[in-house]
Amino acid sequence: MKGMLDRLLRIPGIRRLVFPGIAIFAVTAACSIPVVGLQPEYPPVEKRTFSRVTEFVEVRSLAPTLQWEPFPRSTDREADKGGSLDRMGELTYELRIWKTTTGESGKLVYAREGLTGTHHTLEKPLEPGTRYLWSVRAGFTMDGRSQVIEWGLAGYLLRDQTVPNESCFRFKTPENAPSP
Amino acid sequence: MKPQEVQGIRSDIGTVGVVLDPYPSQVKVVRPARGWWGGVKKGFVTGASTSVAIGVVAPVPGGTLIGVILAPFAAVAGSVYGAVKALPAKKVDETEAILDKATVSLKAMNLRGAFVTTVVNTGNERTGWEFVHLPDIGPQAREEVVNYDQLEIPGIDSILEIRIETSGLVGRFHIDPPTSAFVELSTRLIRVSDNKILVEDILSCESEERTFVQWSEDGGHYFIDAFRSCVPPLAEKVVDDFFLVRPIPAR
Repeated sequence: MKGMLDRLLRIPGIRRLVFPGIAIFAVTAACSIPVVGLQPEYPPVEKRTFSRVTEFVEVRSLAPTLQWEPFPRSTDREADKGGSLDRMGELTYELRIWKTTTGESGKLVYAREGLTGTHHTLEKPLEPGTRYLWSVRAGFTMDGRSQVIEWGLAGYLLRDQTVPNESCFRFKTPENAPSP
Repeated sequence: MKPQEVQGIRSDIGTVGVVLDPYPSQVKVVRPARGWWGGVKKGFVTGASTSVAIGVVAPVPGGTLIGVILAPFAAVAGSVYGAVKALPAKKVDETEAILDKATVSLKAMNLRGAFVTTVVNTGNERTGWEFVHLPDIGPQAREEVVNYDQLEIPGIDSILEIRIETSGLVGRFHIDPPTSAFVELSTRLIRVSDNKILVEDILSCESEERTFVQWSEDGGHYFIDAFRSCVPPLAEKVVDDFFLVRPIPAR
């Protein structure tokens, strides 16, 4: 194995390709944020390089407009070998927001079902200077039955745990925010 | 699992019998150090292990060795800290007594019954399949494997078998750690005709964090509430994951 590696590294110019490649892979692996479900567009998901969980990104107002990517995504179409997504009926989104409590849990403060668009402006203001968890998922009918996708999570994915959990998307409200 | 496989499994489901184990779950509780001697012991372990752990992850040449060399000193420092910071043994005992009473109250509330009812109702309301509670069927002991094909359960083609495996307070190993109330379920969807396990998963619920003494405040009110609060989301999670969620690729 070592001999093979030595021979490989003796190929002219290979070191110039391999080492930057390893560096790029390491940086990408450290910086990329695992996401399950629909990716939030606003507020975005941000994570420190070696952090397990994502950051509480500050939003601009106490009644922010939360935005997420539409379902189905191109990856869902690619994975749908049988073309079943073409039989998808009415598509809606479900949104939940929890105010954080001690630890990484939260208390439900806002929930909406049946949203038809990929964004939602909160109809009542949140508390200033407060941390919130949130998540969104798509729901639809197919062949006469209801289906949903998983709640959106990011970072260290606790997919087997009920929401809210520490993998939910995160934002914080500003201390001094303009009135909505 | 691929969407097509999930669809295949679900297309065979007719009426779902829901069974919940009746035996007590395993209880795991992360307790604080009890009295100054308990603090010394926990502080010793915490100090030594912290030193080694920092050494291992520190981006310094020979970091692990430095961590190991410093471990005895960190252990002594941790012991002193633990002895000072540990809760008095009497306070720990009083808190345990309150939480024991709260546990008795929880049992009297029949959360198991509430849970299985919520699963059945949620399943009936949201999935389009018929869910029926089968109170006298299912595993009666932890190791028991039930052959459902040998039982007389007319009209039921699938069994949703739920076992409450573990519950308690989970947290870090520390002098007086904040802990979360947690419940862990082992859930299986079983085809009655041949006892084949179609889907199985371990699902859990975790509450907010509180210290041991905080859990006992107000007669264990927060403790009781934390477990009661896990009933609806866990029931929803079981129904969602087994009957509604369409798997999509993660990124």
